[in-house]
Amino acid sequence: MSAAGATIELALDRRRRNAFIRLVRRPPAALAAGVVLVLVVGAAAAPLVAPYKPNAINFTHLFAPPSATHLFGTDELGRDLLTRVMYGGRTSLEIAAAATLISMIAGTLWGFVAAFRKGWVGETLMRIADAAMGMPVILLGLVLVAAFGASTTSLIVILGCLFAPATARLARSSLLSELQSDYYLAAVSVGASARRIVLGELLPNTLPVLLARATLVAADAIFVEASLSFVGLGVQPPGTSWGTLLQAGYTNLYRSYWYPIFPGLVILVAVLALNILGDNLQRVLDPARA
Amino acid sequence: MNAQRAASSSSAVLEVRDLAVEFPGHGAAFRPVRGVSLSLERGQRLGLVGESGSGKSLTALALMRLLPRQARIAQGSVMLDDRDLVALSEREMTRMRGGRIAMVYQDPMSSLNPVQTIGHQIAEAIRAHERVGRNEARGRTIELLRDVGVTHAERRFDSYPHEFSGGMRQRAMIAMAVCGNPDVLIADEPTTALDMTTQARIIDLLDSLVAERGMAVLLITHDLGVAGSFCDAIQVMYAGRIVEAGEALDVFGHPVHPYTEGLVASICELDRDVDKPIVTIAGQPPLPQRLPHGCPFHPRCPAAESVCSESEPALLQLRGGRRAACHFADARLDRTA
Amino acid sequence: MTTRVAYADTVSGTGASQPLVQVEDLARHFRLGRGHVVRAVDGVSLEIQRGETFGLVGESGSGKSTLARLILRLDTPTSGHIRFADRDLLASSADELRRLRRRMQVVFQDPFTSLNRRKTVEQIISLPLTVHEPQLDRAAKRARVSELLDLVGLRPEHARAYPRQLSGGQCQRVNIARALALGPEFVVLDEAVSAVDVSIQAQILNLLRDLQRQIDLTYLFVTHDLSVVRYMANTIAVMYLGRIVEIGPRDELFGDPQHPYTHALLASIPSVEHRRVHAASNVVQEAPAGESGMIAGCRFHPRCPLGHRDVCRTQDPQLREIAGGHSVACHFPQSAESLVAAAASS
Repeated sequence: MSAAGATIELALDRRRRNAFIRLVRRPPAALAAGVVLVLVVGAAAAPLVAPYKPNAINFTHLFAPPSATHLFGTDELGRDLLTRVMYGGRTSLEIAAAATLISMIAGTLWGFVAAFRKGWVGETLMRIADAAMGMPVILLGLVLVAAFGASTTSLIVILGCLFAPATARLARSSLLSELQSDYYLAAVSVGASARRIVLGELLPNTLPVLLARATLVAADAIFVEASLSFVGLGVQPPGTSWGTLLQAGYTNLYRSYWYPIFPGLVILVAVLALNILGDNLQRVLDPARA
Repeated sequence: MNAQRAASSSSAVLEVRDLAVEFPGHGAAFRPVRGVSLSLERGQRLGLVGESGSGKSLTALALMRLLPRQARIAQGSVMLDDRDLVALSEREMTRMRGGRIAMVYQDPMSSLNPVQTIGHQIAEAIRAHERVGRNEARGRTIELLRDVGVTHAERRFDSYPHEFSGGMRQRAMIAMAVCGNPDVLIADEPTTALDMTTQARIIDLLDSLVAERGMAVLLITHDLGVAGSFCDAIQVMYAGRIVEAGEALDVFGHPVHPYTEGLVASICELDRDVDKPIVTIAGQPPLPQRLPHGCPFHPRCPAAESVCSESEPALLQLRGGRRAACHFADARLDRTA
Repeated sequence: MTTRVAYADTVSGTGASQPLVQVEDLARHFRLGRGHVVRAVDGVSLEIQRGETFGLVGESGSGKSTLARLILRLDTPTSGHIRFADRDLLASSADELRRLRRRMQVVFQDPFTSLNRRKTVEQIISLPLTVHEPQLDRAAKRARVSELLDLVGLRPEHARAYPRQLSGGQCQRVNIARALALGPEFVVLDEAVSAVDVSIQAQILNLLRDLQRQIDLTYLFVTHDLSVVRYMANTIAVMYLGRIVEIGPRDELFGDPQHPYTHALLASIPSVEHRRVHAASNVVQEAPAGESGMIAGCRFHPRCPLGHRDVCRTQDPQLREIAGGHSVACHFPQSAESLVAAAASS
């Protein structure tokens, strides 16, 4: 076999070892991905797979402990907690997903503009991001909710804004480092338009870093939404989210100690899984390892 | 390998026998270094020459026991006078490093601590090996900096690496390496990142250090010119093994191994005939994970025959102290003489 | 075979006598903080004729790469003029520039970072085609890519590979293929063989020379390696700290070098025949640390053995022709032997 042929063979070998495969080969990442998948499917398919209806009030079974018929027990109105957690998940995950999307798009645009406009425009944009990052997220969230109300839409927008600055910082530094590379200069020397260069050449190279960041933003979004809902400034009744369930459970702690455990556990597991996923994604996509 | 062998080569300050380095692979483990033996006499300058992927840098790291975490020394021994470096504990090896065997790296900017002054780093290195007070260490450092050709040494003591030029940083690195008076200095591509004029001076410096201190130097490089101008003896590496060894003038003037021959022919030297194309070696070096059967060079060798694809030639002893790993080494040597 | 598009100004034949590239008094100053100015290129003029290889030699800080980038309009000069095929590059509109870019391409030093690691070889080589020849469909592009791969000595299967799966030499061939995709007239080779092994370097140099003959290319060959530049170039310019200090046809420059810096460079070439560095390189001082700000007089004088002379310390020497096409910027140009002798006596 010629030397050139040997290289190509190895190339085909390596293709099987692309980033996704490398990711799921790591036990923590595979487990985390599985957990996230279960949560998402559980929430999305709630109407199909939930054992009860979410508002099925049953006065004979108030505050029932976990049992074979009610895996998570029942709440103050006899409603099955497992079902309510699943439905609550729909709200929580919906909000988190939408907020993540907004924050990633806004943050990336913010960061890219700052990277290209090196002068005072870029600097100002970054100083605004720095200032925003200097404030505690939950506190800022509370202030914004107090100002703009707590409808689902406003929650999504507020959460999106809370996480955009850090994303902007990341997007900008990632783009700046790509702008140093020779392939960028080569694309310029070929005469490609700015649009083609940014979207076709540079963005694909910044995507891995941004993707890893997105999972971490999602984790943060779930956590902050739960925190806001817990203090009553998040999802408003009759809407339910993991945060409101946690709050209800906390209020009824002496009547049923298990009530807050399950929503709390689900929040913990979701945030942890997304963090582990994001962490491993970062390591797998790190160019130093490729 | 046994006591008798060790006794007969007692003049060698560094004796490496059959060293192999193994990496875990996806699937099978592979060996980028597959059995390297060399011996370095006191005050000798030995050049380990090879292209990327030949395993030369890994060999150097293995000698210093500084291999990356996932690699391991699979076999072999590294005798520094009477002690086998491979068998030492990490603690004992730390004592050896700098004191008996030291290394200079390619890129001084990444090997020097950017947040400490040059003087501080060198003084620290001195104090790591000897019990001297701060002031005495400072004095010794300044003297050492002067020795290696750093001008205004007193002032430069308090400078940071980024305030030095590339050549000066390399001199500072060399100072740090020799401050403990090691018996063996390994220089891994010490001049590759430097300008040509600076390179010439650093080689000059190594020259004078060898003469002054009687140090043995193992120079690792891909630059045949640098190796040829500095080293007494040369060993050529290919695919993890030594394929040719001998005196520098012999190896470059009358190469035996087809790889060495091809390598020497592809150098673009100053007085080359500009009208003739350069004779090159076809193809490229094999990956250590996929070595060809038999002689690893045979797919690219213009003189390959059927035996070459069947069995790998050992490093054979030839006339005049030369060695070559080729089935036709003797015949080729006769032809070149 | 990829035939080169005939450009209007070459067809008539009168274009043949005009130099392809003309640089006049080009300067590029970088303003760093604290009033510090780095004069990377400081008044360079040169001409590159069609079909020749122009060699630009210098060490780090000489400004050779900056000059190459200015010519390619990857950077904007502080002052001066650049003409390509008799068009003023600095006065061209964005559209004109885009069209001119078809005719001048570049191959960079680092074979790996010059290729977009997320794209396949095919995608990389077809980028220029997509930009400038949008009428080509996928099949046509693929055919062109195959042609180019064959031209640079790669196999069709390599089209599907990613840069990380290729060796340095193979990556550099891909870079060359991309540079040739649009059939340019002028290719800048910015240390294009400095980052590959010796045997691969030889292959690439042979390839470049073959291509030049086949496709009638003009090269600007930027390097720090004097032996390589002598093998490749017809005309050679030696740069130091932003200026050309010596320039001339290959045989004249190497046959009778005159500038002390040129002598130092020649003497620093290590080889087994010269086991002790030549005396000439020893009389030249080592490069000073830190950035050299404004050096009064000749910018080489702090390192020159004759630099203590008054005229060297006060007057900046201009390029003066001493023989056919051979010019030196020095107040006391001379051979290596007389330089060593003069240094010894002073």
